[in-house]
Amino acid sequence: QFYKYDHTSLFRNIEDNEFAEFEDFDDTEKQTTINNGFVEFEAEQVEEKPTNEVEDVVVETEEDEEFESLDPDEFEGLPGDDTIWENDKKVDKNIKKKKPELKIADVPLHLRSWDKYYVEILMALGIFVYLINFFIGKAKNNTLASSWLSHHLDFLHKSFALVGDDPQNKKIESTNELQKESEHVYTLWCSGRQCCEGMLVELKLLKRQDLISVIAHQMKPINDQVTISVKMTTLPSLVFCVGIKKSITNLHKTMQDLCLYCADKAKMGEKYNLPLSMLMLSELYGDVPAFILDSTVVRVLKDHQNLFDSLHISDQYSGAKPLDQNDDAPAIPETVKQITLVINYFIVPEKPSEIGEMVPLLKMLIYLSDKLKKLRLSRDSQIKADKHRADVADRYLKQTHAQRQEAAQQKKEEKARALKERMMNEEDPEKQRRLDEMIQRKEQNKKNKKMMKGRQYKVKAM
Amino acid sequence: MDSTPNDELKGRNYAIVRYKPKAANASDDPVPDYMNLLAMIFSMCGLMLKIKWCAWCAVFCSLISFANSRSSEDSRQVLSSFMLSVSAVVMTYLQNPAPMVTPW
Repeated sequence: QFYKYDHTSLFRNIEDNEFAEFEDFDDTEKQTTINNGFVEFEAEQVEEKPTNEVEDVVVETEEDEEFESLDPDEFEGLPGDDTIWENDKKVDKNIKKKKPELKIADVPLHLRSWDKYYVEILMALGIFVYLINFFIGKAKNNTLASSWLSHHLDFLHKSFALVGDDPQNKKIESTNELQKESEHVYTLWCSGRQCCEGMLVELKLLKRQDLISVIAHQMKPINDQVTISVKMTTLPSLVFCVGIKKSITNLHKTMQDLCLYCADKAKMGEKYNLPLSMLMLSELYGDVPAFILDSTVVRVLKDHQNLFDSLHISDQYSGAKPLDQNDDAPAIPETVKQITLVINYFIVPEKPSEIGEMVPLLKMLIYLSDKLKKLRLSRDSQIKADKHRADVADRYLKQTHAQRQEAAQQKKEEKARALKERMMNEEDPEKQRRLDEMIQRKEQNKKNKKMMKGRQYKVKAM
Repeated sequence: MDSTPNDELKGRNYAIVRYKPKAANASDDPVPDYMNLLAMIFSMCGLMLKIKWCAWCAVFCSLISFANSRSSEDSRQVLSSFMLSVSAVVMTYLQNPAPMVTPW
């Protein structure tokens, strides 16, 4: 029979005992309380004896008393008897055979209560909704792009020999397909036209496939844009831009060539009966705007005011200004002769035919590119234009000149230092003396040059 | 111009120039790259510090970077960030299956 100690009651008894001292009980009883089957043992209270009566103190241990009635022989050979060595091994064997009676507490499995996982369910739902919107947006962008192509394809075939180029394909053949840059950007390259290197059409649609952008567009509406840029092989030297107010001010700040060549502010174009919502920027205000903004162009712009964003014609086109302005040695940007037309495309669900209205704008662009090939600037315009280009080239040279001067200066100093070092650690005194003389002579020459320069100024000044 | 005029185009006096795709630099659309980086950071937090909402944010960020990714970009990067974020979610729940405690 194994004895179990019930710690809680043990403490209670000890407490009683402490008070027992104050109540001056005479006899110290051994309190054995049987508590629902547990046999209680209570530590024996040793009485304090007066010091003068010295007796040998007998410490009685309960075990002897307790087990007096139980004859140890009875336990011989039984598993509990640990006095005999062999039995221990038997005991171990028995224990191994018997399964340990460890009862694992029945912890409530969390998977049973699904309602607690409402946050996770929300997250999963969010992902599901995002994926649904991804496929819907992707399909919508796809239909938009293919409907743009279907409206413009036959006109493109008339104007270009190659419509749609696949860079991987070695042979030159029209793919008649838009190239998908990403879920919301499609491009189309056309080439094979006189005086025209090629035309790149970029459809920059809204990010309908991204739920976050869809929400952002609800708050700050922007529209799809079609950017058509025609790279020309020959173009007269002019920089010209026309467009709606908002985009003109933006372009004037971001485009490098507009900043350099169109110093003054954008002007209204009533003289050329441009619509009032449009502004004009030009390097030369003589014959150039009149030549460009002829009746057909202005009529097309008027008819499509809601679609038209900007038209930028430039023989010094070098894209937007580099964002990091602090690069102190701005190399001269390589320029391209380019005409860029930007069209805003508002999705009006009720009027699906909107896309077809963009075709005239494309036709106007091709008409302009043909017309500009024949333009010859008047003599003074040409002189003015060339002067502007020369000024810009000088400005870049000056900026890079300062850097080049510093670099040359550093090289000279390094050479002088190297010479001095060689002279210092030269063992042979003879060579060292000669090197020293050479250095002295060089410094002397430098001083003389400076003095000579000073005298020349004086002579001139007199 | 590197053009090889085939028969049909011989008579005409123009050249066909092949399309040179401009370098798809990150400057025009930084969203996919930033979202990819954010997904990596969140899934690291989820895995190391065992924060559940970080793992879920990682899944969303990699989903957004997948939606905005350019087709010219190789998809392995997006796939690896997706796998990392899903593993972060699984690990946090394996380690401690208790539901996520909301701050409110």
